[in-house]
Amino acid sequence: MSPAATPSVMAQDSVASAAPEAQAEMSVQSTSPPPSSGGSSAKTTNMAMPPARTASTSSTSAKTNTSATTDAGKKAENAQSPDFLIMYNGDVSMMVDDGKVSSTLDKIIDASESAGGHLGTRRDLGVTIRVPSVHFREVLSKIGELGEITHQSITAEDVSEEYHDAEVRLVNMKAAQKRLQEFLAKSANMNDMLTLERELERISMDIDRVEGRMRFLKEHVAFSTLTVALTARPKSQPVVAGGGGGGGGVVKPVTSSPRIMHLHAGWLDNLGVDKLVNN
Amino acid sequence: MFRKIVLSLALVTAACGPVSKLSAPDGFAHVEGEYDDRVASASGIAIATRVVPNEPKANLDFWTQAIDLRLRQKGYEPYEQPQDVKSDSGLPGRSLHYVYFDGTRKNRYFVDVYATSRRILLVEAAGDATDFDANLPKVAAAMRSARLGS
Repeated sequence: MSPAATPSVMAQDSVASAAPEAQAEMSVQSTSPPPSSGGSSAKTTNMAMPPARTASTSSTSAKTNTSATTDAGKKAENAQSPDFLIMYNGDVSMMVDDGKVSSTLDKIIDASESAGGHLGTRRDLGVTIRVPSVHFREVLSKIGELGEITHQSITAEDVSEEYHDAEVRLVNMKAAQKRLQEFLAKSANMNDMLTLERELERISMDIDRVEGRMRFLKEHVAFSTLTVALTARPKSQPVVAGGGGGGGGVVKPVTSSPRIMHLHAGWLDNLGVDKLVNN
Repeated sequence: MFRKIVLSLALVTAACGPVSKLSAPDGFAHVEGEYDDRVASASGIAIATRVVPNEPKANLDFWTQAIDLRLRQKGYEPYEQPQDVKSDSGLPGRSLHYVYFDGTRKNRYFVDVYATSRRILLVEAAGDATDFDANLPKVAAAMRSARLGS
């Protein structure tokens, strides 16, 4: 791992990368209106809204926070139920006073730990925490008190269908495994025995894989992931324009966009996510 | 004579190849693109490298600042201070880390820059933030593996 990417503290969770097509995903962005209770499917209909914060509009940001009267605690409890498995992921960007970044990160970690959660990754200007889903809203609310939220998004991913599919597959595979073991015990032919051994090995691997995925889903339903990115609020400094003559200048606010020298380096325009991921 | 021909062929082959390369981490594959080399995971994390001329001739600090200003102008939000890094091949460079919101999607975007007197080696990585963070050690190792060709 390069020093650049080495956080001072890291407890990396193992995460399966494949997102099954069966997963229904609901994303609530701070800039979008909350979805109505009548979802497009039975699953989304049953889903309560994810946690939300009190509405406020930041004058320093184009993005606004929205309010949604939700019952995330109840939903998180539902998420624990085997019939209703929801994985929550939250991203929060917030602004804190200059010089308070480090102490705010500590407070965020404290909030997570006091709710029974733990630290995922800590960076210079951000932190990823894992919190028990039943305390997700409570922790989010505590974090909101530590600074000004400029962006917030919470994603609830319904993995119930995938989990129950896996359960059914597991039962079937275990039944098949048992039958194969019975055949093997009765078999007298060497060729048959070898074939059955191979088949048993394959099915055992499949069983391990399915059990692993089920464990992963259970763990990620029990604990939600919350990533918080902090920005230090710049100190406002009056600028005296039209100096030269000395004194008597007009006081203007600091402009936020820096002047950029035009360089004959076209590659600078080609930097970024779009080209890298899509082309 | 035969040796000379073999050597010439080897040089021609090397000259035709990419000028920078990456090692693909486990679960990644080399994919085509407008880069010297690019690897991607099935879930959409991409890591790529390319070499550009160091024109106007400048040092690492200059290019770090130029890249940072351009990215901020495009709406990228830095979430860590630029950090000094060293590639596996020993090149000193700097790593810049950003968050980029593309509609409702939160992306991570890392760019490592290494400047030599003639060339700049750029190594970029991007992906969905959650997936990217989960694969951070792999991504960082792959970025560090970038090396200049002939």
